[in-house]
Amino acid sequence: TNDETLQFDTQHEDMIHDAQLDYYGKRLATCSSDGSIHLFEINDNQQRFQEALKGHSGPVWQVAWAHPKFGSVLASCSYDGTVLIWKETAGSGFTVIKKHDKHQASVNAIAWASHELGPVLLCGSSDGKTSLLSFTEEGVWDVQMLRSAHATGVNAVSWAPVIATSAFTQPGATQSSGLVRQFATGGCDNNVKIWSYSDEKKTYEVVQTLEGHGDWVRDVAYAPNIGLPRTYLASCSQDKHVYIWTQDAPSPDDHAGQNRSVEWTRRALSSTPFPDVVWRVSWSMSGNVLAVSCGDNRITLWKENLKGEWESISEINEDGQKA
Amino acid sequence: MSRGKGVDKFVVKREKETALHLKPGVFPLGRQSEWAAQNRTLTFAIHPLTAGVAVSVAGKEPREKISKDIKVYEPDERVYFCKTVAVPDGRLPFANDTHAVFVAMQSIMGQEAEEVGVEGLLRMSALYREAMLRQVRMLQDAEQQQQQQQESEFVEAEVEVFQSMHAIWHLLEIIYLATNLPGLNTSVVPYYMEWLNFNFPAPLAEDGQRIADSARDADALNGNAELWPYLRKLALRGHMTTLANMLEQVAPAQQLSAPAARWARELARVSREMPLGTNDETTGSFNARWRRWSNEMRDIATAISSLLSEEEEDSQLKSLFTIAEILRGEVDVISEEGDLWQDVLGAILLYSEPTAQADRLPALAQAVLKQFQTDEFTQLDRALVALLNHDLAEFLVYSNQIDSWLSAHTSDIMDHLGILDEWRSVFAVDPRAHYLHLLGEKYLSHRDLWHVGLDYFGQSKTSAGVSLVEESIVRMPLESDRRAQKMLGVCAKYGLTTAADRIHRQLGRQKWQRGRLGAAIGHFARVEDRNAIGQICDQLWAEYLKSGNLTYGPIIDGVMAGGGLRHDRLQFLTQYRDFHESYKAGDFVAAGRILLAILVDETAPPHAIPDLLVDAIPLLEGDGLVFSADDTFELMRCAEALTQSPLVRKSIEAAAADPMLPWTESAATSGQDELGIFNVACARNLARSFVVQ
Repeated sequence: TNDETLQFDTQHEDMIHDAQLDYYGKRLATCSSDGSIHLFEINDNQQRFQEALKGHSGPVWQVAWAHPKFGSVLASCSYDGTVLIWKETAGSGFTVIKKHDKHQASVNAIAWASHELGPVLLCGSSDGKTSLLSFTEEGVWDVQMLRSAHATGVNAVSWAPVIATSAFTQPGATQSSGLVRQFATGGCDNNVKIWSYSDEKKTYEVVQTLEGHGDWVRDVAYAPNIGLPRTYLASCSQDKHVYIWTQDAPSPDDHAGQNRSVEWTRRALSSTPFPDVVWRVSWSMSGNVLAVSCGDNRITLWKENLKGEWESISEINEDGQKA
Repeated sequence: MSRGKGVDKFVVKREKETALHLKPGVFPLGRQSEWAAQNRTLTFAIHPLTAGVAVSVAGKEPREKISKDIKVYEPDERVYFCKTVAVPDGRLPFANDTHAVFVAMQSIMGQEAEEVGVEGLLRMSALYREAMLRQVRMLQDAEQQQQQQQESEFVEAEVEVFQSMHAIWHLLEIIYLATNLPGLNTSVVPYYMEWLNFNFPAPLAEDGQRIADSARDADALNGNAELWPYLRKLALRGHMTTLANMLEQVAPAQQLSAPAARWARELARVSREMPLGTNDETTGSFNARWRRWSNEMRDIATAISSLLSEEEEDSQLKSLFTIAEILRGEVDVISEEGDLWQDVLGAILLYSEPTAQADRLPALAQAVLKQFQTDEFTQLDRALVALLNHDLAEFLVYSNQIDSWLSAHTSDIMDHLGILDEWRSVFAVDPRAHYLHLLGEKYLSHRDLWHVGLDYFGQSKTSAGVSLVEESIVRMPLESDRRAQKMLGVCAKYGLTTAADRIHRQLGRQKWQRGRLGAAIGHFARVEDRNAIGQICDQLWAEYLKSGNLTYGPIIDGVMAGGGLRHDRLQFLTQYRDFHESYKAGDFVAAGRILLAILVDETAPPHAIPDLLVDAIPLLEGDGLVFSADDTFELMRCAEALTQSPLVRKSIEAAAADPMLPWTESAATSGQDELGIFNVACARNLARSFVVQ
């Protein structure tokens, strides 16, 4: 069956590397090896090219939309080692408001923290470092480079849900003091690392290393927390496996739900390896569906069934066009 | 976690995979390996609200790291938007109708469950079935009008889905509701036969009509090859009246042997006399009548059987024997004649256990199913069998494969019946919530069913469900006031104060941009955004200064009419409007009193004070004494504060820098002059006031 309702040419002059919809699903940003970012307005079956953003001097790997409470803000990262933050202003379109050039190699992944933590951008680079770009109350951008976690390169970053699973129904769950400050990274050392904020050291540090992949980790993604009693983290790798890591709600004496002590349980998404390298994993907004992109040109959608196992519910594939 | 029941049956083979193909394709047919080796894969972005995915070809490595000889494929820069689930427009009436019943059920069962009881659930269940049947009729009408084959196939498939859903729901209603009414000790057999003949009609009425139309007389009727299979089917399904009528019609046929004619008449008579239970009759009394009737049928069968040994070639007599065997409940013959397992089960119930209760169904069904190739069963068969066996786990899984509406509502009604509780430990997740959320996500993908989808999230009565409502609603576009009001209604329903706040702020900003300032203030007032209200009031004041016409009166009146809103800026604008009107009416004393009150109450923004003092000049210089000595001293104090206070100066400087306010350098100079004039006017008024007083 053919269920696509809209398709269009992005007018990039080279390969696309990422496409991201904004918070409302109304705008699409695509980025390319041609060094540019293209923006489109999407409305049901129509699209309109809005703007081309040129600022990088190399292929642009990823784009990430910030939460709308900060305005129309978009971040991009590039093979040229820089991260740009763009902001839209009336009459001027998107302009660069911050250039982050502290990495020494390609910046492969970026992710905005949940809006409760403020405008904070996490970056992962081939130089093996992660960095945090935070917009402070004084109105300036603060850059914090974090100690190497994946010596041979960081390929993926993802923020944990900001509200602890145990605190979900409790009053004050969104109070600053109760927020979870945690993220995951995936790297060329085949590992997934969990980072947590240390109040004592005033910085993020690695608290757990999740081993299991046999090759580079290509993507990591925390599931949105919608009130389930456990945390879900998906990782995918060149070893053709996708793992779902789960962590139960923390113990009552775990302050702010940082969950340092509770172990992660690993489960393979599929009982058999995928046919090819798995490049991307991403959760639906509801956290119920995991989409997986595999090098065999299939995107499969997975859902946890009543038994607690993951099953493929749908796929988007490409069988090729007839000559 | 205990996993005692039905666990192994969770692994269900899907009859059809849901697969979407990108069209036109992104690489030439059969050359996927080459394409993938050319640095390509697919990437995607999931739409936050709909079940949509934006797919595009993506490069795995940057251009710098790959060979320059890489091929270029035309669709490389294309983006495809795919919908992974879709709700056809034709389902809208069904979705809306059943949603209304669903919501009512949650409300009623939440408050008056004991009073409502099984009878109430039965009534609501009937409403669901009516909706399904309406949908089938609508689809069948549409099918007749379809000209495109693809559309026709789609409609046909939809008809099948709804007919399956109805069959399942109807059986569920019989097993758990109709035969479970308090104080009722009823046989399941009449309900089962009604279910069987309604949902799996046989023989078909058009077959009977065709046979009847072709029969000019008894011989023509007897000569119709379709007749006797039709009669056997009538017997199997308990259509006694029709059976009797047709046997009587064919009996006079010349080509019928004498024994066949005789026994056709006999069977017709006995068929008409088949006992039917009544409400007034005891089970014992009915069983006694049944036994007599069944014995008579057995005697008939025996008599025909003895004739068959002599009349082996008499096919009509053979058919009459088969009919007699069916009617006396002979299981082997019933099994041979029945096409469907439902047929066989029905005939066994009807002719062997006419007073069987619902709890006999599992055992009888098991015995019948042994004769069928269950490997070839459809999802409908499996769901029905699971229902008969009370295997809730398997039933829900197969129901979901038929349609997500079915699994959502069956799990819901079973929860209300208290049946789901004993199964909860079997599942890793709450099945009711699981299926309601699934249905909610599906409905959310249709632009006209968003509120329905949200209700399925919210009514799951879980924190996850409420969270889904919140996460979804804050992402929805505020396309119109009506939609916004509906969204706010949803927020109120589920206690989503944070989401409601965000919507009000968005609406406030929207209306502000569109110049609907009163409405904007109203929204900001709901979230107590005093800063935004202040800014809008400053805008109103600036517009007045620029135009010289005080036109904001109706806006303020509208806002204040709502009541409960206290804001200095609003109070200032209201007072100034009153001052303006008093002045225009010539009531200078009142105007002066109001002007002084504004200054004393300090409700005016600092940057407006110079204008207010200038407004005082004509009142000071007027013919009548408006301000007393004390009033004049108060005015002078304000003027002094104006020149001395750094806060006031800063406010005036900020106003000067504000492009919205009509402030120029010449205006500043003019202001200095006016202050001088004001001071002189105050001095003169003081002198006058001493004389008068």
